Order: sequence, then C-alpha cells, then structure tokens
Amino acid sequence: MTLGRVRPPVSLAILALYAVFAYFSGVLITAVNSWMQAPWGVGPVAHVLYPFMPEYGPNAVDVPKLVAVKLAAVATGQPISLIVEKPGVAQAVGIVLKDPMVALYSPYALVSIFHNIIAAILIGLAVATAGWAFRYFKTGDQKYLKIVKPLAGVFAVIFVIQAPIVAHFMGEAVVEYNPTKFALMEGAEKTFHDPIIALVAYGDPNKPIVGFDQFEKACLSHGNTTVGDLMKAVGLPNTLTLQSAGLTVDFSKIASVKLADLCLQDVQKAKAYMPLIHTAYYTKVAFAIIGGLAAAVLFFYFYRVPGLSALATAIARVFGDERRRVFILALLLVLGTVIPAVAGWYVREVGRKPWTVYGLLYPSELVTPVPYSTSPGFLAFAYLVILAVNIGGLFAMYLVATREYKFLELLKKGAGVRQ
Amino acid sequence: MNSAVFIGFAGLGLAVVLHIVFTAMTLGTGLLAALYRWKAYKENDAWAELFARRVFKVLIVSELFSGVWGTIITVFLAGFFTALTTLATDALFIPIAIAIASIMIRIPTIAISWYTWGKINPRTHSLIMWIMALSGFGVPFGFRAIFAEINNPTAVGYYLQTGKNPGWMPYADPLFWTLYLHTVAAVISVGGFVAASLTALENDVRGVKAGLTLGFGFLTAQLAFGPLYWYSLDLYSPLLFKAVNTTYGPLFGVKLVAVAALVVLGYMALKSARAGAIHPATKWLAPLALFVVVAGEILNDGARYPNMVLAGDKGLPATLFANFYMDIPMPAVYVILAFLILSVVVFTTAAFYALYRRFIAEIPETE
Repeated sequence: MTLGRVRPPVSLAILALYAVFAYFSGVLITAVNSWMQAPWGVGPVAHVLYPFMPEYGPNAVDVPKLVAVKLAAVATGQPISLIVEKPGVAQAVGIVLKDPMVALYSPYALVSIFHNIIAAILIGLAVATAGWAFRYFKTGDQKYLKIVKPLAGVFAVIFVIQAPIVAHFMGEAVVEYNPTKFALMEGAEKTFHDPIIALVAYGDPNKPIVGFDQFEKACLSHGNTTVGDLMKAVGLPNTLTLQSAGLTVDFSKIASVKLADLCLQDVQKAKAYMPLIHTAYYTKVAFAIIGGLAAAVLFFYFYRVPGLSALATAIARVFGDERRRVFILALLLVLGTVIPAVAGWYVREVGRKPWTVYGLLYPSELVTPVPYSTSPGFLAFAYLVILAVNIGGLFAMYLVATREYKFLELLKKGAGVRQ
Repeated sequence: MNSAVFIGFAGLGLAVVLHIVFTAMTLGTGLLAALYRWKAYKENDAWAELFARRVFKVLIVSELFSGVWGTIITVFLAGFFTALTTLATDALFIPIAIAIASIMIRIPTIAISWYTWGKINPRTHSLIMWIMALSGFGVPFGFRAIFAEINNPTAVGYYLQTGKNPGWMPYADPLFWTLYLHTVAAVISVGGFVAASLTALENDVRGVKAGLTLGFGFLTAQLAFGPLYWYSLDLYSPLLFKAVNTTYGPLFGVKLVAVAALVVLGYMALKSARAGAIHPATKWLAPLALFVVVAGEILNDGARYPNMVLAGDKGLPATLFANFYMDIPMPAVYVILAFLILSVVVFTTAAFYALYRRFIAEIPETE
C-alpha cells in the first residue's frame, strides 16, 4: 500500500519489519513442528517405551503425570481432548511441563528453522526468477534479463548454503532423533552397509544403516516387562481419580499388556509407510539435484568463470536460443525447489508415523472426538469448499495474468479524470 | 484468579474488542461494496463503480487487521485457556466449521473480487462480490454461537452431561438468535457510517448519502434488536444481565447516550445529505459508531469477569478453563502484552495511511 508513496528509507524499514516478523513467525512455527518430530524436554520417556529411540533433551516434564495422560488415552481408547476439556482438570493435574521454553532449545528445532527458512527463501527466489525469465522469454526485453541475473546469482549462493551444509545437518538430526524415519527414507527393512549413505548420515563410512530388524530387536529387550511394571516404577495407582473434575480412569485392564508387544506393534505400523517415504525421499533428492544443476548452469552462464562458464554455456545451448534457455533453466529452479519442499514436508510429516508426537502420542489420541467430523457428508462439504476456493483462486490468477482492464474509461469518467 | 489467568483474560478481552471493531468495519463495508458494484452493473453507473471500489479499500484494510486480531484471539485461547478451547472445538464443532468455511470463502473472494475487477464480465463480478459479502455473515453465524453458549451453555451443558455431541443444538439457543441479529445490524450500520465518514472527507455527497442510508437504516433496526438482546439476557443469562445493569451500569449508560447521539447526528447528517450537503458531524459518525461497538463488546464479554462461563445463576470462573499444565512465564506474558500494545499503534498508523491517505489505488494500475 505504501510502496512508492513514502520515502524509500521508510519503505525499506516497513519491509524490513515485515521480513523480521515473518521470519520470527517461521521460527516459532517450525519450533512447534520440531517438538512434534523430536519432543525435546521429555528426557527418557520415549526411550523407556521404545528402547531404539534416544533421550530427548533434559527431563523438563513431570514424568508420572505425562505417563498417566498417555496411559489414560490408551486405557480409555479415547482422544486426550476428552480429558483436557473438562473444566477443572488442568487445575487438578497441575504442572506437567516444568520449563515452557524447553522446545526452543532443541537442536532439532534449530537446524529445522534454518532448513525451512532457507528453503522458503529459495522457493521465493526461484518463483521470482522464473517470473522475470518468462517476461524475458515473451518480450526479449534486456531489462528483464538484468533482473534475472542477480536473482539467479543470489539463488546459487543460497543453494550452496542449503544443500550441502544445512540439509546435511538436518539429515544428521533425523538420523539421531527419528531412527524409524531415517530407516523408512533409506528403505532399511534390514540393517545394511552403504559407505556413501553412512558417510553422509553419520560421517563414518563403516557404520551400518540401522534397519527395522534392529528396532524389533530393541523392542524385545523389554522382555516380560508390562505396562503395570512401568506404572509401578513411576508411582501410578491402578485407578486414577481427579475428584474435582469428576474423572476416573481405570488402568487395570492395560496393566498386563507387555511393553515389548506395544513397541513391536508400533514398529510394524511405521514399517508399512516404507514404500511411500522411500519414494518421496528419493524424489526429493532427485529434484533437488536438478535444481542444483540448473542453479549452477544459470550462475556460470551469467557470471564468467574460466572453464565452468564455457561448460555452462554448452549445456544451456541444449535448450535453444537465449530467451528459451534462460526461461527453461529458471523453470527448473522452480521444480528443483518446490518439489523437494513438498516431498520433504511429506517425508517429515508422514515419516514420523505412527506417532503425531514422535514416540509419545498417536493421531487417534489427538484427533477430534466429534463423530460426524469423519462422516462422508461433512468430508464432502469440506472438500467442496476447499476445491471451490482453490479452483476459483487459480482461475482468478489466470485471468489477472492474461486479461487487460476493460473498464478504465468508465472509472476515469466516474473519478472526473479528463480524457 | 492468579496473575497469569487475569492477564490472559484481559489480553483475550483486548484482542476480542479490537477484532470486533475491524470485523464490524469489514462486514459492513463488504455489503455496501457489493450493493454498489451491483448497482453499477445494473445501471451502468460509473460513480457507483468508483464508490464501490473506495468502500472496498476500507474492507481490504479492516479485513486484514481483523484477521490478525482473530489469530491473536486463537493464540490467547490456546495458550491461556486450553480447556475452553478444547471444549468449544469438541462441543461446538458445527458452528466453528461454519465460521471457518465462511472465512475460507470470504478471504479468497475478497482477493478475487479485487484483482478481477474490470477484467471479467460485470455480472459475474457482481455475483462474486455478493458471495464475498454474504459469506462474511457466516463468520459471526458460527462464532457468535460460542459467545451465546458461554453466556447460556445449553449445547455445551448437554455435551458435558451426556457425553454426546450436541450437533446443531447451539442454534436452538434463543440467546444466539438475539445476539446474531444484534451483531448483523451493528456491523451493517457501522459499515455504512464508516463509509459515510470517509467519503465525507472527499466531499462526495452521493457517497455520504449511500453510507448514511445503510448506516442509519440499520441503526434504527438496532433500536429493536438492542433491547431484544438485553431482554433475552434477562431471561437466559441473568448473571450477565445483572452485571451489565449494576457493576457495568455506568458503561452501559454511556453506551446508551452514544447510541442516542448516533441516532440524532445520523438523522441530521442523512437529512443534509438528501438535501445535497455534507453535515459537519458526518465525519464523527464512524468513530462514534465504533465506540458503541467497543462499549457493547466490553459489556458482553468483560461483564462476565471473573467468570468465563455463565450457567444460569452460576458462574464458572476463568481458572476452571485456564492452562495450569505449565507455569506460564510472566516475563514472556509481559513481552506479549507489550507486543500487543505496539501492534495497536502499528495497526492504527497503518490504518490511517491506508484509509485516510488513500494508499490503495482507486483506479487499477497498469504498466
């Protein structure tokens, strides 16, 4: 609204303020998402249930209360919201999380924040580059090429930071904190050796890629330990009563369930996602490579470096005349960022199944308890709204991009503007 | 009530009031813009088209701010009142789904209306504008059910007692209908007065008349809907009724005086506009109408304090619904409050620049 209508420093300050808060929003949202991937602050809780999982940071939770909430969901077979929603329950339960800031100290969150924000910047740059390249392709006007050149340069520099550095650390965090996700990504039904993957993942080519056989073995290390034993260990009674909230949960029917069986059941559920996650992950990698190559070709095509620029020009010539080659390469930047981002988020979100909060909570424990929310009628209504909005939006964007204004004369007449 | 719960209650109140102010502006101006866009198409009236675009600018800015404050409400609810948020989303699923579906239609149709204006068939464009304007009224149709339920929890009471989802039951609550009618008339009236005040700054007599006709027309409707809502509070939410008439009596009195002033000044302004002149009081009608909205919302929500839910003669304190699962760090809360105050300043400045200095192009910019 103010662009071009206030002094440039004011405009810059407004844009900078916008950018700072947009990134800050991204930081906080990614931190929340990262907590669901690696629940930092629950210490050994997930490891106790699933011995192949690591400890997630310091223990900043009241373990008996957290275990009680989890077991209440398992015992009742109902979502946790049915407990949380009761007036007075929060006051009766009291403090569960001792350090509200703990999620922000997570190394998983830190690397995810950099990874996501840089990915977002790259997508923005790719789309902008492709937009101006399209204008150049359509008009041949050199002024558009002058915009494309620095954009492509910045893209290449940021890509070099993202792909080999930040993405590597992201991968290391997944290896350490999401063992089942990493096994799904690598299709590791059984543990295997691959020096290249091991070098990238662990920095040690001799280490094996841990597969689901090892997770099953770890589950069996529970022996005959039962849920009842766990309850005793954390000091939980057989029946939990919160009188002030009128809530009673009977744990006795799950007390005899073996922890090994629970663990194995979840490992099997995770394994079922292998074809999807493995395919999505390598699709992401393939398109990221395409994006990287396109960025390199475009960079060396514009910025002269002996040897490399000659090679880049030779490759670029494959795509036809200059207008065409710049546009196609820019388009590859879009494909090389958007598809890895979509596939990457797919791997990040679906790869943590069967948990919504990794190692702690299932989707069924967090889903809405409203019965008709999954009815065909409601789903049809929801999808209809989403579909209509998206189709309408896309069609409107097409109209905006392709049609000229037809009513300017009428408006100018109304505004009293002289012809 | 501990300090975190109090600050949560106060912060939530501040966010609700600001959200309602901008919502009133956006819904009312949306209807006015759609109406004059349609008139422009039907009567080939260039002025009507331009007026619709001017009013639409107000809609864009206020929609943006109302959305931001709506998000802040959600953050306060989820952070400070976990139980209330969970209970509302479980028990009042249908009203919330209606509100969200309406928002999902409203926001894209605003963008589509603006960017396709003059690029598509005027009839189709008018239709999109009507969808945009009317979908806006679906938002309070959903969310006002929550407000009615926390003053008279019939559906939520049924849910907590039986464990069964109440489905459409929130719409069987008589308090919802009186509140909804009161809200709809208020937002249309506010939209009309805001449009009239802003066009008065441009000396557009026809625009002033158009805004005032809508604003004053629905203000007269409020003379019936306001007392009706007040009377229904006596029947269905006696504690709130009592608080409004006693503890909050002075504010209620001020609100009634402001409404009376709005009626008198609005009538004088409309009379002048019909005679082809702009009454000097016209530019003050928008601030006055918005003040009435603020006072009304404080009475409707703040008068519940220290309760969050009122069930007949029983008040359920905010602490029953508050987040005690963690010790909310007070420094963080103060930072949030400071940020909110800064946001108010930034938003007000931005609104000034956007509306008064007219930073949204009236005529589409071409290359």
